[in-house]
Amino acid sequence: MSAPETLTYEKVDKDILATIEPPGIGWYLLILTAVCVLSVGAYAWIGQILHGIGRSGKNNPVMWGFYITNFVFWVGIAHSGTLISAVLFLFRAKWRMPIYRIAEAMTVFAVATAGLFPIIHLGRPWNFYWLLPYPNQRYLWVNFKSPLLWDVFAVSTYLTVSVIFFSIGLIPDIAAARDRATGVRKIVYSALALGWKGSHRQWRHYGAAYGFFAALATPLVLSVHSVVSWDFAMSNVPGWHTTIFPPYFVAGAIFSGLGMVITITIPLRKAFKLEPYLTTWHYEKMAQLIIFTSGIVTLAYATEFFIAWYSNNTYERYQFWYRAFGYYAWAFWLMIFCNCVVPITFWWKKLRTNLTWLFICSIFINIGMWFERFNIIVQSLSREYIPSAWGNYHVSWTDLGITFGAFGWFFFLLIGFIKFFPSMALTEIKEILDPPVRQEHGH
Amino acid sequence: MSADYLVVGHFKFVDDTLEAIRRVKSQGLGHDDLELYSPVPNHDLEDEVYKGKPRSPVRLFTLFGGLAGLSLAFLMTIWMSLDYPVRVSAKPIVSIPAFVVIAFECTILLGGIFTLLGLLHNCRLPWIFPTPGYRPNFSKDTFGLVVRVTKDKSETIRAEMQSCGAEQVEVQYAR
Repeated sequence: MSAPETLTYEKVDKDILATIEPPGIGWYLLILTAVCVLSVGAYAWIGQILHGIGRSGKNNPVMWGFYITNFVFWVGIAHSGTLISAVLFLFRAKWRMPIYRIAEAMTVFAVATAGLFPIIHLGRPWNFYWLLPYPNQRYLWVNFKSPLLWDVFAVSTYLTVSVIFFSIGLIPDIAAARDRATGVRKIVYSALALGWKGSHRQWRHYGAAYGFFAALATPLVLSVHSVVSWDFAMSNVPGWHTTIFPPYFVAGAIFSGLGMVITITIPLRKAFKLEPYLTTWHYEKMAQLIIFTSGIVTLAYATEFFIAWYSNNTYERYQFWYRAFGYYAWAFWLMIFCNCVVPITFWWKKLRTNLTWLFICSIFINIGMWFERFNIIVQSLSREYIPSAWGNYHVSWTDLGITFGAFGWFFFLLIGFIKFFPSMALTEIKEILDPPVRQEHGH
Repeated sequence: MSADYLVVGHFKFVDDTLEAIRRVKSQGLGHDDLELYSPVPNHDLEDEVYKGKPRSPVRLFTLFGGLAGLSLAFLMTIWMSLDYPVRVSAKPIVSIPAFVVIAFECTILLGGIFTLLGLLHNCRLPWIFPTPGYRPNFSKDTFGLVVRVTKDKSETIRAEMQSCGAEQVEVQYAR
């Protein structure tokens, strides 16, 4: 099914470029709110830099807490955007058209948010560049056998390729905005459009490049979150050292990202009056993908428990008993409810096409997936091998402030983006319309 | 006489544009004499304009970048591991399975960067000079067929475009 038949190239152009008209009071209020939330995080982080990492809650034995939870959460969010824009492009899924631009924007901004956390969680964040293999006066190189180093390459590659893929997709749309803009906007859009004219020669190379980018970004969806999962799986911590982590993390990432796409697009669609372009049919497709990925995540949880029991390994068995019935059991059951129970409601068509219900569930999914990472990290570290080394995690205000501030940073970037660039792929929506043919118009 | 004139045809419909391309080509003009602007890529129009042109060379840039990333990554990790060996209980200094991860990421990274360079190079971007013949509505809802001709042929081409249903046909000096 393509977009409704009453749409023409002119109407699509007008509707989508209307979203980047000079903003009203609502947008200013939103961005101000985002800046306030971001400031809370900035204040917390500055305090941590000045007074030391002791300001955060992480300590022996839970030496990774909220910050790495947030890192994995945001990288996971990013993956769904790449799945929608690159993987579904290769599968020629038409339902991706109205959402892929905002999904890609979500990817870029989520990776930009995630990339802050490996720096935030350092005791000496000013030394973060030591992770990179640069020649130095100590004659040393980095340890390429460490998953933390693989992460540096994976996340940097993901950020770079996502930004490039995003920018390339934007070029024809910015050119359309350039041709309709006046004044300073025209100058800025002209510079950003790079002189794109949409000639047949350019479209030929563009089509080829876009296809190759989609083909390059697809293995990134699989590899980057696998590499992130190896931060845990390559250790020998009970509950971490398991080969299920790569597919479990990748499926979970897509699941959480879809939740975030729904959270973002439902209000956006209403605010910009984009209902003709983003219909309940599109949301139904997303809901079906959520059912699928939720199923994989539920199966992964069950598999972890089964293997822990089947292995007869004391430490693994205890870890999973502790997850369900220990100190953080509330977090575990919250995760199960949000990730496994809530998506079951999408089996009913009436619910999966109800946008209010979808929005509410998407919030639950985001919460559930955040807690999944919290459970994996904090629960496993709090109860490792030797009981005398056991300890709980004590959340600090700095942890909370930075977590909160990261959401502010993400939404600040996103709200800024939607006002200055087309949040729907103008050119690709025109592409899925039936091309204008004279015979049909009876002239 | 040099081809110093541009005939710019504005078309609202794909079939009109197709017919116009065929008629322009039947006047003895080739692919190098015409430029088709469209708000979206259209395979029918591109096939009509190209007729037998080879595939885009962007794929060669991607291939080169990917191979460069792969080889440079293995070179970097192997050389640096030997130059600063981290000796851990008889584990291999050059650990290929671990380096495969880095090499994979660098393959994608350089493949992507070179694809971008290939796109920019082949599309002649960024282009800061004016493009005679281009009109702003070509990015909105109009197909633009721009033909470079000599002065005496411009009227013929103009008439052909108008008979194909062009909304507007302009003739301008190319320079």
